Amino acid sequence: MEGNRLPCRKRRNGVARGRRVVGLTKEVIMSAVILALLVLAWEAGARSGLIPRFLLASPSEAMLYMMSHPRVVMSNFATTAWEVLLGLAAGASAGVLLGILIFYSAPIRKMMYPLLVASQVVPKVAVAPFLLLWFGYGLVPKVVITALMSFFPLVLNTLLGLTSVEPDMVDLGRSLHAPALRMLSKIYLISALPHMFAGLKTASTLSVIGAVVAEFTGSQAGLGYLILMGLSYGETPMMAAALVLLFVLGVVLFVAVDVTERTAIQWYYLERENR
Amino acid sequence: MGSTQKAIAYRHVSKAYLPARRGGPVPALEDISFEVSEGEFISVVGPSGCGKTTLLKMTCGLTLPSDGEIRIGGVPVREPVTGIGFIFQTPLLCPWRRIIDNVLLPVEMLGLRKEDYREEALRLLNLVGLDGFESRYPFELSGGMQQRVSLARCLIRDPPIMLMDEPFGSVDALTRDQLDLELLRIHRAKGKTIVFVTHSIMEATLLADRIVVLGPRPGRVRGVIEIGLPRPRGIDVMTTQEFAAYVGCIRNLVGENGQGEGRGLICPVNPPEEEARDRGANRRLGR
Repeated sequence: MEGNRLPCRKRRNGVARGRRVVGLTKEVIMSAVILALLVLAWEAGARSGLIPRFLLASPSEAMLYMMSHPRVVMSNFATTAWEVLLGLAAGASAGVLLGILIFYSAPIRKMMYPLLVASQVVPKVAVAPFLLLWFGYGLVPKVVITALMSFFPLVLNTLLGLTSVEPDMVDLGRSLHAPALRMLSKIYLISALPHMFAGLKTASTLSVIGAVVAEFTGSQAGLGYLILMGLSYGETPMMAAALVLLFVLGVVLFVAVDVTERTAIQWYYLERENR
Repeated sequence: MGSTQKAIAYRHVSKAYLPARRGGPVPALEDISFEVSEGEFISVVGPSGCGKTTLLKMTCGLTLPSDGEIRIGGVPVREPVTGIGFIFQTPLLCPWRRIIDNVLLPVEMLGLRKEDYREEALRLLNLVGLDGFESRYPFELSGGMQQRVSLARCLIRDPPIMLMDEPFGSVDALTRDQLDLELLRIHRAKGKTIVFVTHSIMEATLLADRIVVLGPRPGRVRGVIEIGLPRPRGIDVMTTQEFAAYVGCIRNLVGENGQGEGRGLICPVNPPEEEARDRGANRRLGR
């Protein structure tokens, strides 16, 4: 795409749709307001004594905890964020590669499919202790669990994207004797991008779950570790702070994927809007 | 006529599909035999499902006949042939590519340098009436304009033979007439051999030197009609009596009335056979 801005048609109210990558719409503002109201209700509940402090700290206490322990908060946030990023990157790349392999080779498809399903049927939480046993308490088991969580949506969606390329398009390539690799890079993969991004969105939310599950099983750092620590010391503000930060991490990750998608496959949305 | 080597020769071509489930093979085309001369414009008409698309796909080797043989320039077709351009029913443009890059797609696919073909691509866009649209994206163009792009994309490799599968079937009637006339102009300018599949008898008559009429599934050749209308043809040719007579004659062949052997049928105002053939030959030699 060479990063060029696409031209676009003016829409009703003179709003040029499609050019906007992310923007404040009424709907976005509404959901922010609802979120704010929920937080306020939580705060009010905590202050009025409706929610006992030993069960759940108030949002303001969570904020206070973050401000008074910036170093603890930052380093544990960074640990989890790093696990999530590495795991998601590894899982997503493996997923795309596997999707391509399965697409091109019927034997691999027949061989891999049961294994793939098996890998998804076994609960990842149950696998975590084994990985801990094999790889220790460090970064590796967290990345592996996160990758295991996030690769499956990409396998499925890559495969779906590749198989939904128009048959006539394939014939066009065949009539040109185009080499398979060139066909893959110029037609198949680009056509599959919308599906792959859908998979990546699902994977991005799963990856945070994966990292926290891994941390619960055994760790010495991370937001999941903070929650467990808070639990054992009765430090509810610490728990609330970690929870808020996990929320922030998940949202930032999702929005990052969403923005990348809208920039990378702008053609897809423009095509659909103007159909 | 100069050479005996025909551009395309169909010899007793049949095609049957094996159904996915049980049951015998389903015949799509049976015993198709005719020849296409170099530079000739052939239209193939017939009801839906009579195997017209299959015939085109076999011609360029995308599928192979179950029986009989197709020869391109004397060489039997056994795999996809590179020297043939194919225009599909839909424009089939890549929505992520600018118009110029869509025209240049075959060049890239063949691993050639895009820069060497840039000027030719612009010239072709000019030829199909899309001057100044090179940096647009497909979604900004109407269906008819998109099909013109696919015409330019086909011409970029300068294939001597072009196969067109109901290329203007999805555009409105007015645009279709316009596109047909442009195709006639391109045919004259470039001297391509064209096999044009359509279910519109009017369109076929407007365009073709000869019309191959296929019957309903399994498709068989019901007759080959030589169209003696003078060239260059404009849209006004469609209002002449001669044109109407041809259309009526072909309609009879396609429809129920032509059930028997269509070959004996004589078009009412068809000029004597020799004369028509001579005219066709002269036209071909004259270019």
